[in-house]
Amino acid sequence: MAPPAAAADKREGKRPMPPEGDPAAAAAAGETTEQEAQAAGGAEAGDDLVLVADCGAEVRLTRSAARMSTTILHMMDDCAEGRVPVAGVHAGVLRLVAAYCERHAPHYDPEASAARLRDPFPPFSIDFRPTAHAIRPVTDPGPDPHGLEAWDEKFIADLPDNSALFAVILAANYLGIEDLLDLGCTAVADKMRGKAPEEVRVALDIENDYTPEQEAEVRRENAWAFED
Amino acid sequence: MEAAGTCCEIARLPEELLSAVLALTTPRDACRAAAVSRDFLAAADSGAVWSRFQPHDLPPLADGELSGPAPPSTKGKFLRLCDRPVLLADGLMSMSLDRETGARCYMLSARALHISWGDTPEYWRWIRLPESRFRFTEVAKLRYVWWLEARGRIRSKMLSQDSTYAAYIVFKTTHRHGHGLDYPPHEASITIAGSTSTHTVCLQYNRSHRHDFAGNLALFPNKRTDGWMELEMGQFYNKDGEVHISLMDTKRGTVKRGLIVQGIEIRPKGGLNQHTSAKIGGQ
Repeated sequence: MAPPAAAADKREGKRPMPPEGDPAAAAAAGETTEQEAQAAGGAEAGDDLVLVADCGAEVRLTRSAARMSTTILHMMDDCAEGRVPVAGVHAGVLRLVAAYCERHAPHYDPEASAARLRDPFPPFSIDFRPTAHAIRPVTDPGPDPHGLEAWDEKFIADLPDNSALFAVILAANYLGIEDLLDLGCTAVADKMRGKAPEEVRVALDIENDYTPEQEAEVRRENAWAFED
Repeated sequence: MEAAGTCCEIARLPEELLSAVLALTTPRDACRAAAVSRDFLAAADSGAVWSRFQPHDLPPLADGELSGPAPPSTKGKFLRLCDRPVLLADGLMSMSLDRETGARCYMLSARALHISWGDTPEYWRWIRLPESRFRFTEVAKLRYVWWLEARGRIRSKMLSQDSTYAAYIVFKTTHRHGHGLDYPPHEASITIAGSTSTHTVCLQYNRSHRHDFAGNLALFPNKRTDGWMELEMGQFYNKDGEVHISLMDTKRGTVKRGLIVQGIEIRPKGGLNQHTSAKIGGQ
């Protein structure tokens, strides 16, 4: 029986929790509690979930945080002793994903999330130089009351390489965590925006598998995009 | 977590996720992405990406618009809407998409505007254009008038949300200079949701009179790629309400001649745009 989210938050004081600002420490703390859990002989029923990676490594996840994953949400009531097997996701990536969910869970609003993804326009901001004639000033980034945007920025910046970023995206896709998927895809899009193909290849470690003739053909078909 | 060889890790992303990434960039970026690699080509040309760049709902169109050979893909449809505006059902407005952002752009035809004395044939005539990129049947041709004023409006819901737009009056002059269009300057204003911004504009470049009486620098027209001129009337940030755009005479008593008005165009402000070629007049 899942405890209400507020009770879960209060209980967090009893267990060593990583400082909210550090995803790497959260991953390390996840490791510590795994060892404690193994020593205590498995997860307590009706308490946190334990995600089990292919290699057997375990990652603890509160039920409140697990709500963010539609995949886990549908699986968790059927899993014995709250142990949820997660196939095809590396243990390290699973820890990152769990850290993300723990950080975001207290402020998770599934309806706002779905509404944002339904509205397709604009997917990016339109550059605007303010002039004396404009009625409204340039759109400001907006308030970040829970520090989530700053945390997300650090989460992405702390990923060691593109490979890790892609792994997080694949895991978020498999686990059905829309907000994390959006964050990851936006991070990749940010690395591409405004860049020429050669620069995109460098930024994302991509090999050019076109012949020179094929590439010239594609550039011709999209000629307007290559004019300045 | 070991880094297992960094090259081409992006190939692990299925095409639908690559499309999700590209949909978060711009139309220009998505076209350039096609040249990155073969995996990118399939994703960059996919319907998932290009349907995100265009509005899902178009306003009611005039008969026969979007007929002819249908573009083969969503990308083709997007580019078609950027290149050739479509006429709306009332015949008074046309719509296109801004190629850089996918934002909706509109052209209010002269008939959609309120032009002071526009119905008095002594002052204004309505003539047919031999060919018009915007496919309006008529434009307003000025014979002469003392009071030059034009007003247009559009519901902000028709425009793309959270975007900054600018309005331009699209016109031609039939005389090289003079005839009241270069001096004294007019006042252009845009009102949305109760707040108004105004500034000084001049329909014809005038080297010696570039300021209005208060000392403000006037805005001058630019030449468009379709051969017409356009003069910016102001900018606004789109939110709820109705947008009112007007060009007003500030000083009666000067006769104006030699103006042909096609309409008022409303499109996103800033960055590149496919309409303006050379700038004139020191801007």
